[in-house]
Amino acid sequence: MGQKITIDPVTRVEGHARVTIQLDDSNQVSQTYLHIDQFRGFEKFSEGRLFFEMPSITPRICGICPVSHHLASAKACDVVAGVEPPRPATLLRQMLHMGQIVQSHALHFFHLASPDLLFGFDADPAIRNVAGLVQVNPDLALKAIRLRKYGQEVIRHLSGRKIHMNWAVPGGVSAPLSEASRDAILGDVEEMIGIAQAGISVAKEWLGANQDVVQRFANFPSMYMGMTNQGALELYDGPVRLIDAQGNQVVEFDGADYLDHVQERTEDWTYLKFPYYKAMGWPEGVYRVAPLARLNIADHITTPLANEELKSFKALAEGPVQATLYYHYARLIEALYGLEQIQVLCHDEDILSEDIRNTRTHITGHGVGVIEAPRGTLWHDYHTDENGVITRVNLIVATGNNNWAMSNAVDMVAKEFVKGSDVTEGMLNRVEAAIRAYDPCLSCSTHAVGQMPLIVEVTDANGERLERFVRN
Amino acid sequence: MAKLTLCSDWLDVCSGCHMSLLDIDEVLVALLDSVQLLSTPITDLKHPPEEGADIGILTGAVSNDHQEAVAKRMRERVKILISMGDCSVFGGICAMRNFFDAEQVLQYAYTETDSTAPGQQVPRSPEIAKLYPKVRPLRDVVKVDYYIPGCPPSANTIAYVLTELVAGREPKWTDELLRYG
Amino acid sequence: MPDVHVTIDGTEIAVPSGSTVLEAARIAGIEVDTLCDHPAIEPIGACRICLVEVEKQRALQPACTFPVSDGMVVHTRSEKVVGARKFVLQLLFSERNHFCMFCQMSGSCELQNLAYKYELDHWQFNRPMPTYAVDASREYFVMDHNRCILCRRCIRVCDELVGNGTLGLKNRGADAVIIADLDVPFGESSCISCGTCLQVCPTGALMDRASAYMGASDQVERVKSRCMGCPVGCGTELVVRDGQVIRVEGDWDAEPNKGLLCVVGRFDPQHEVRERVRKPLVRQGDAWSIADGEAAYGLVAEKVAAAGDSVATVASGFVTLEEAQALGSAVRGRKFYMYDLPQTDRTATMADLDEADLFIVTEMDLSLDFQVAGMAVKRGVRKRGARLILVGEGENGLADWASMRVGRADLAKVIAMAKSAERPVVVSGPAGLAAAREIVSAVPAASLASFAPGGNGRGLCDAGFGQTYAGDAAKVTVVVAGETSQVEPGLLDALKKQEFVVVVASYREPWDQVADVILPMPTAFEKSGTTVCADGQAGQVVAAMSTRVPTLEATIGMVAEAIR
Repeated sequence: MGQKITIDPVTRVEGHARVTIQLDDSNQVSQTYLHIDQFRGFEKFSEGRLFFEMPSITPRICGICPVSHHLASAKACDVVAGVEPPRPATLLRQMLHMGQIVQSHALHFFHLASPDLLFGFDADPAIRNVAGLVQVNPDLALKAIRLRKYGQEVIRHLSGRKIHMNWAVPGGVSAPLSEASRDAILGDVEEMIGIAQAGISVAKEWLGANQDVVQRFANFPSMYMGMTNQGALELYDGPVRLIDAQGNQVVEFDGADYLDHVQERTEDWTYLKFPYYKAMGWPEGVYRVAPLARLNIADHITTPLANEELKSFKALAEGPVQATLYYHYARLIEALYGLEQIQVLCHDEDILSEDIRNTRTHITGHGVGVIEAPRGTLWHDYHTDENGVITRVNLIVATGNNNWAMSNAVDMVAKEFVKGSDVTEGMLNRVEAAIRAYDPCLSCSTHAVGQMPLIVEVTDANGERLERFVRN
Repeated sequence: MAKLTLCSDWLDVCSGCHMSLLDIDEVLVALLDSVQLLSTPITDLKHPPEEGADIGILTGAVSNDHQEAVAKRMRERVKILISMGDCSVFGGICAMRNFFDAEQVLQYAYTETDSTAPGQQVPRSPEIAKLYPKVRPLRDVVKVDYYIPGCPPSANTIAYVLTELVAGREPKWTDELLRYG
Repeated sequence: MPDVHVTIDGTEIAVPSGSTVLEAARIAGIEVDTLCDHPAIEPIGACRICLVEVEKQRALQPACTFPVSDGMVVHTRSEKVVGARKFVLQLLFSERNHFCMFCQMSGSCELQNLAYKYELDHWQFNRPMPTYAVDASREYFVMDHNRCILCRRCIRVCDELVGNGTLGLKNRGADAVIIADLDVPFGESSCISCGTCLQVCPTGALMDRASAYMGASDQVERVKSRCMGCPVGCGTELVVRDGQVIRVEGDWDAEPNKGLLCVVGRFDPQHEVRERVRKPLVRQGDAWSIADGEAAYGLVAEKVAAAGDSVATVASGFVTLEEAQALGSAVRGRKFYMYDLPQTDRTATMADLDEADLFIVTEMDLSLDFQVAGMAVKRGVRKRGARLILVGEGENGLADWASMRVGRADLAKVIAMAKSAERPVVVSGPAGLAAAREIVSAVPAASLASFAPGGNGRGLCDAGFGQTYAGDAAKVTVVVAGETSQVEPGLLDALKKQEFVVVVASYREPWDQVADVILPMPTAFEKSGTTVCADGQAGQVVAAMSTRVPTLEATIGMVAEAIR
């Protein structure tokens, strides 16, 4: 057995993650592992609680996208309670979701991804971050902060809090949208659309000018899974579709029937499970989710500006767009859609309605809630007894769907760029960039300020340290 | 005057506390006049420097061996340690697992959920952290100097405490700032 | 006895002998923090939050139970007291499992508020985290023992105010747990879902299902109103979030209920399953269609105009005095009350129930109807040693409180017993009136507390609706139902026989069985007006919600307009 290179930590995953790169005797990369290092046990410790507490418990799975869990949970609770929310409540929940799409995607692209694109993977780590961005392009940096803040403000206007709100309840929501809030949200949206478009320009420019990298960098075919409403991009509610690497539909199903189609596998070296398409088994059944997948599945977007961008996106390839770095472009298109959709919702005649909760409930004992979180398809599945006490929970959390893809990406990039034990800083950054492109849940804004020292240890087969490379 | 140095890290977390820290927006810029951010999950440095730092912030509960090591290293290297967020201060949502046996929780998640394929096993590789039987608040493993509860603490509360500490004053809890949940 | 002089936090004051330190402090305008204390029930000194320093006492004393003595000097906020209070709070938080982040009471919790006040920013003691059950067997609310601080307010209100005595405690010390009856699931116990325990619980231990997460105390408004469910006429406090009533609570300051409510007034409106009527509905064969205003009011107007005097108007108990007046001026023909009429020979009030030493309840189950009156009977039996005689056959929810049950034929026995009582009160509904009157006429000291169904029966009788409806033949029958849900089957049968029936109702059922047209009507939460309870007191129903549903007055106006 050859040497092992350990990258510790990998940033921007929930908790801590590490990458180990195994070299063979001729110093070629033989296998790379992405170890996700945290486990809390929500599925088990929710047992015994009341189902209507779940929209408050489950957002604590993630502080970046608590809204995804809050809404998926509320949707599951609707089914447990045998109740359908009135139309205004559904519109309001959609708007909360769009606020989140905007803030989460903005955070990721501007604070995390754009420095790599603007400065280059090999640039001096001291400047390759948002602080550097502030120096080189203060206008863009300020816009970035405002866009994230806007998304958070939409969330606060609706639910009273930015992170971990109590608002969606079984059957609807607890508070309507005030006219003043609606006007405030609408007042800023045009400016925000401009910012999203500026981001798209940055992304397109870079992607166009760096095609050699784009085509070599974790570019692999895969299946794609995501929601769609008869071919339209859909993030809140709709059937789930799986397409193959050529773009042909494999299956479309009601999210509530997910157990017929999705299964999970464990590996000894990571706490994150690997979902795959059950009918094809492992590993043939692996797929990707989140913006790249959703845009590959959609054939149109219902809002005009985003729809135009979708056409550009589709033109990048015959069939599905496969190269990992196009996730950044797809993510911004979704942010643009989110903003336009907020505008549409604000103009809906029911958006200020006070008919926001259907209280005619009866416990059915089971409910599944599905939603497209920023990072992929999210499932909440609750079983309760006749009194509404949770007896069994199953969660498939968005990023998990991309676990195989991230592992594959890291492996491909390592094999492409790691030469022997001559570890360069640029290689390290590329490995991180491969993971970063998938925006794994818990995208902490590394590169916000300062530099990123990594400690890379090269050890021999006995675990003795041969080299220690500290990038400071 | 030399800037104060600040490090932060996260243990068993959802990251909401760090997101709330980001929500202080322009206050962060003002703070950066007197504070230099070193290692944090939201900067590129990952470990507090061996030469030490003035202020350390830890979020999250202590649930496994890797997290305890991170907590102890932070405590060693900072003068003032802040325990931030309900998980760090009280154990928080992470401590819900304490009502069950840790092995039971692992078995359920990796072998018994409805979508887990038959024949799977609980991950045990030495590359990943070992779960402790019980989740604990930070103060159970290291000495803490200040506490900021909340799930997450509001941006206002975080901004207030940091501003006071950086100015060399003792933060005082007043109306609205101290909140659980 | 002469007043006692005490000094509290430097203020000298005279208070009645027998006062507690807490009462004395309040007289001096000083608030002492408490948790288990509640103005409506006896203090027990369980929580130890109100510990104060009393000079010359060896230890700190609980202000809520410690009696004043002449010359006593008390300090309620000394360093020692504040330290003790923080210590008690630390113990409370560490004993059980307080997860504020997902507790629906967060922001409205008395325990949490004290923690904030005393600046507890962390908990000092290792927490054993014992496992406690969540009992979700009750229909309307849930008990989470993890959040219980054993203040025992629930036990005390169930015992002292409701007189049910369902709740109790098992085991001791740290093992103590609140139980129902002999430790059965709450939903299978003698609990009557009055919700008084829910209302007094200071933490999130008792959770209201319908209003969970619907708003913390700083997000809601409170509107005092009256329940129109029955003639007891309980004062309510409606908890309102952004224009929706999310919860009904009893108004502690209101007569005659002093904070109590029953399931009918507290929970039924929040668990309504019937379809709300917001637009006029017109029958077409077996089907119903939503009609536009003109068509519906036009149809009614046509029928009413053609009917002349052959119109019968039936008011339910949910009609306010003002609505009755508007109706009275507008309708021709005969006016009826939907139920049996309140009787004029009623000589006892709800207050008299709290003085009685003997209750005689004739052919009525006070656990089903007029329940708050039933609570007065139960607590009289439980706390004052009053006795209860039930006259009548069959199951009766108050049987466990009765010392005697007799059949209708054995009134002589009852009369004999009543004659030896000092303050006997006979309680009856329409069915038991004859027997009740027989007893009252034979027993000089006896008074009669009779009840007839419907919240504003007395008011409606005074407003011209003083005849019970019995299926009067009319060309047009107008039923002003409001949110009435309980009707005699006889009423529906009688209505089915009528030629043309218009019902003005908040909910579709049961009126879609008999009506030709259903016009919308605001609920008691959505209107303001006067209602007269069985005792003869006028109370104000206050709108807590706005609605686009037209008022009864507006509906009458629209029909009148269409007639022209």
